[in-house]
Amino acid sequence: MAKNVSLKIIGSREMLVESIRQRAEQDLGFPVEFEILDGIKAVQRAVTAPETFAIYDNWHAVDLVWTARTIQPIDIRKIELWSDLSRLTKKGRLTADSNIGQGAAPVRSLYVQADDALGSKPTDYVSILPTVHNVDAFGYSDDLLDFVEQGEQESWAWLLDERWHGKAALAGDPVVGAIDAALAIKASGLRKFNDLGNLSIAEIDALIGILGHKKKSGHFRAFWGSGEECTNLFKSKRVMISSLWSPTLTQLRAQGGRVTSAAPKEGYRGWHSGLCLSRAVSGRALDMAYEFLNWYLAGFPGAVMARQGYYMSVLDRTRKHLSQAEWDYWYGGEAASSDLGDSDGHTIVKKGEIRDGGAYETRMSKVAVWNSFMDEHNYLVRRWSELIKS
Amino acid sequence: MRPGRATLYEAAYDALRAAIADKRLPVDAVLLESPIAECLEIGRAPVRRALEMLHEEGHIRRFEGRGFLVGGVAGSRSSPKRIDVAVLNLKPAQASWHSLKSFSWQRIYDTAEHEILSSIPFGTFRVQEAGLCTRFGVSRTVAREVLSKLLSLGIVEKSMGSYWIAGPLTAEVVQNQFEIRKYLEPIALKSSAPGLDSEDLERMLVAIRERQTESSVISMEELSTFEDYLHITCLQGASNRRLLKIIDQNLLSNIANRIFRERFGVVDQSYVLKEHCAVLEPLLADHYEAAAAALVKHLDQEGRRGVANLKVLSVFPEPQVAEYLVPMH
Repeated sequence: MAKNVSLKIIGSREMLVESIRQRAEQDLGFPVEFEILDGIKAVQRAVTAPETFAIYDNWHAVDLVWTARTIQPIDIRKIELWSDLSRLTKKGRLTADSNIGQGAAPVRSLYVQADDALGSKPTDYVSILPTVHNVDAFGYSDDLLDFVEQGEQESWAWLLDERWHGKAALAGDPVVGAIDAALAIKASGLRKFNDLGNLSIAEIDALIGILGHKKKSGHFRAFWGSGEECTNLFKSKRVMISSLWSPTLTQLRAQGGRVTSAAPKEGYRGWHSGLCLSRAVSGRALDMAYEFLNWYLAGFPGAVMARQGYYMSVLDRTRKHLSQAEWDYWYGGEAASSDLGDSDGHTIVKKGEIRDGGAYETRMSKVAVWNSFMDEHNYLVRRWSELIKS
Repeated sequence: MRPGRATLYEAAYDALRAAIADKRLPVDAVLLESPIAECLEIGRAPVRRALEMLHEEGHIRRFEGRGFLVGGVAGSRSSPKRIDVAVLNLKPAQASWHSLKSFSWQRIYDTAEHEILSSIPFGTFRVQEAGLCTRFGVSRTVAREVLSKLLSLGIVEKSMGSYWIAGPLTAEVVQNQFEIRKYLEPIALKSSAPGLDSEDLERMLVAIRERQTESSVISMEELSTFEDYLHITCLQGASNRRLLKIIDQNLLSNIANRIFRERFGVVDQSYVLKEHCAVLEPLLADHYEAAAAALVKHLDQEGRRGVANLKVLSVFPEPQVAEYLVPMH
């Protein structure tokens, strides 16, 4: 076996950050290659060509790669920090009385069962090593507050609210946009949904119908395709409210934008990503992969991710790599005791600011629905693209 | 008729070529589509194609009138000879001709069915009659017969505007169809089981058991043999023919698993083969209730797999579909 065989990892640009790759090489002593594949391309690669990667960093696609059997189970006995993983990840909820949330809660597809199905009953093997996670909601500019009543609680219904007609936007990607829309429709009392994370044909048709109607009336300014587009929409004041991702919020803040990420009373849209092992990896390459998995949980990546607003499944290790001020702000929900920067050093948090929604426990125990690949994904994508084109 | 001729237009070509060669069709005889088609008892489309081939090869030529004249481009002008082709005995030996026609029809049907089923997981399609005619070189009549059979099996539907629609194959359709099959197939099995040939049953069981001991991956083709035996052959003897017809209409639910397995292989083969044995073993021992219960379990699993497999297929862009299929939405 070649001494300089490298560890190949595929995933999205948000996860495969260069500083993490460099530090991994430094700490582990072998070459690490990141191949960035955006959106659906990563999933397509993962289900068709397991020989082209050792590790697949993904979110909510684990069902698919497991079905196609292009990944191999991870032996948790080889993961040193397994017992330190957050309760949220292993049990589905942070506290015994918080709800698990509809949709593909990570725990539901975590453990490999006797009949090779995935489930929440603990065994020695998992399909994915859970890592980065977060909750998202919509964002709104300060101007919107002029139209809001005293004491009114933030609600997903605001996305469809006529008070800011023409100044709303949704994510153009149906995997995010459709769930945001469903949350908004449910919160507005327009329709009930059985499982927000897995819509039926009739529910998809109703959702598209309602959105189409709103779109025709001019309620939506845009269905944005990239975080940058979203940032521009807010900066130019063309929208006052929109689907929002954490890095976009961070970017907006860094540029001086005054946008708040809501803490809707109905709860958040949650997502959880993780690392999967290719079934094609064995021998030395497999050993390297396990070394990386263990290293990934050990703190440095968690700190890099924290500055993007993302949480890591092993909290205390991450804490050791953040300053006290950073930990208190990003995880503790406390007011920033000093200006805080992103991993490149740009100031993204001003002294005194409090993270929208508060502490880790507060935010992550209010997941209304987890991002999922729905059973009717294909139908949703087709109907959604009709909507966008109309 | 030359052996190995699988299409009507090729066979029509052979028949005309032979008749030209042995002068039953003399030089300058007029060849018109309709009388030839009537004589051969096939549609005009394959005759048209056969005449085009003969023309390209120089055996026949065009003239001022309708149709063709036998003979290549000659220097001298000749007067067209109008012949009654009906008396020429163009049709080859009855049995082989008849079997070619039905074989040909079956091939066309099987191909069309496969092409349509392969497309429906990816969307809704309008099936164009004219396109079917062109694709297979058949008449409207034949195209409609093909569509009729597809309709009876629930593979296409007629829309409000009277056109043919196929798809979409959604998770809901897969689940609903498997649910129907879970109710009905056990009933059919119990009715059919007493009449099953035990030697066939034993042979099938042995084949499956042998397969289980092999380490190589089973091909979709081989798995289809087992699946067809279980879900079609074993049920065929049921006395309630209407019941069988309804089951037939819900078999297209298999296509999700089939396409997935063709593409990714039979990844869950050990489970599938175990489930098969769990049905066939009690059948062989005349324990019909147990066999029926095992069949329900198998259908349950296949339905679950169908939904999961369909989801994997959903990340791929729409494949190239046949020209007679027009995407709607």
